[in-house]
Amino acid sequence: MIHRILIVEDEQLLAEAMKEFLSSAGYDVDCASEREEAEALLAHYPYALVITDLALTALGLAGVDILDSLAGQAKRPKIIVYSGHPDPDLESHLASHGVDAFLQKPQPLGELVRVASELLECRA
Amino acid sequence: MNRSLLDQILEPEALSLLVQPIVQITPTGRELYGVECLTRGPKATLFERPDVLFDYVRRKKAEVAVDWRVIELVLRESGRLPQFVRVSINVHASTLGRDPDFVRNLRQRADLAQIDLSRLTIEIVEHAPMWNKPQTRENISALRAAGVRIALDDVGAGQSNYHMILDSTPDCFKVDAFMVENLASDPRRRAIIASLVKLAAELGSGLVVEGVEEESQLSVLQDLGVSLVQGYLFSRPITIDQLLASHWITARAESTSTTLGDSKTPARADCLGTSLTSTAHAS
Repeated sequence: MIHRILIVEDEQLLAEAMKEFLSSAGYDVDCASEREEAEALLAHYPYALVITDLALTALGLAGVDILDSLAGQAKRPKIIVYSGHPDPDLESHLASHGVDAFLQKPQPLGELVRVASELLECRA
Repeated sequence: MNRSLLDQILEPEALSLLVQPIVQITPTGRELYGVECLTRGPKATLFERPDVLFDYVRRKKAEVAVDWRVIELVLRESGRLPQFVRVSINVHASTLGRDPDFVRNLRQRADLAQIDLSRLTIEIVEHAPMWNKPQTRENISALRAAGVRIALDDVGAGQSNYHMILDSTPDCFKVDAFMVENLASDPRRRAIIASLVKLAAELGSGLVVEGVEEESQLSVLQDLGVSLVQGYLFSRPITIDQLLASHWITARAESTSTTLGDSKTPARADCLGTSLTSTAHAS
């Protein structure tokens, strides 16, 4: 089974690089650059994993809104927050939102693929 | 700066159109009654599917802008259809509630496209409770006065409930496909459709049942007095070119040329209070 991943990232170049790495690892990857786009995709397509930036620069803390909307789902996807948001209490805050992993930017994309693969293996 | 998905959707050629025949069952066969225009999002994207596209549009609260793009597309493409083909366009109730110039703008665009407003049906779709009812009602009245028919989409599902029936006073109910699933073996659905047929008749409205896929469903619907239907049993959504090449157009064109203007042929009442031989509309 090929897992489907949604990347929510408004920096297009970064989103494309993440997509390339994850696609090379054998995943089916889609990208969304804004909250509403991500929410519409999550409502209609079966994602196993969401990788989201926390602060989509043009849209405020839209990433948190996405996490909140996912929290209510009975069978929600795994969630990785990949963010440069400088907040020492962030990890515990995110854990309360049901986030499965947190990666601080900058981070080698290989590490992102490794964490994604681990989470998806747990899910399978 | 990156263009947002909404910017892409609003580009002139981003949306495309399919049509699905609305079919009239007559004692002698099945005739094209009209078409419902169905929008598709940007090709080869995740938003080509209309459910995903309009979910996004509603989340962005961009119904007005996108509805107008759709209307412009429908009017442009409708010019290629024979005059006898009625054209249904889906419009959000929220668009009617937000846009005080809706009817004036529709008339302008229809004039530009040389489409007579009496050929148009606005199918009101909504996925949220109707708000700004006065503006919505005002637009509905003005549409009707201009010769446009009003249909209420998805009756039996979502927000298309009794409130919406009272608020929109539709000329036609479009009964949701959910109501005909397993219809032949489900007496409860049969009872609901029978009640809708009766309700529509008492309110002076017509009724179209969507999602008809099997002859057994059609048989039950005919027993219940339904004569206008839509669904895969008759045609999947197709392009206008496909429709123009289909028997729906060729057969109807031949039929029309022999019956219209024939004073011995009685005017056949259609579901919207008009007749096939008259453009008069009871408002």
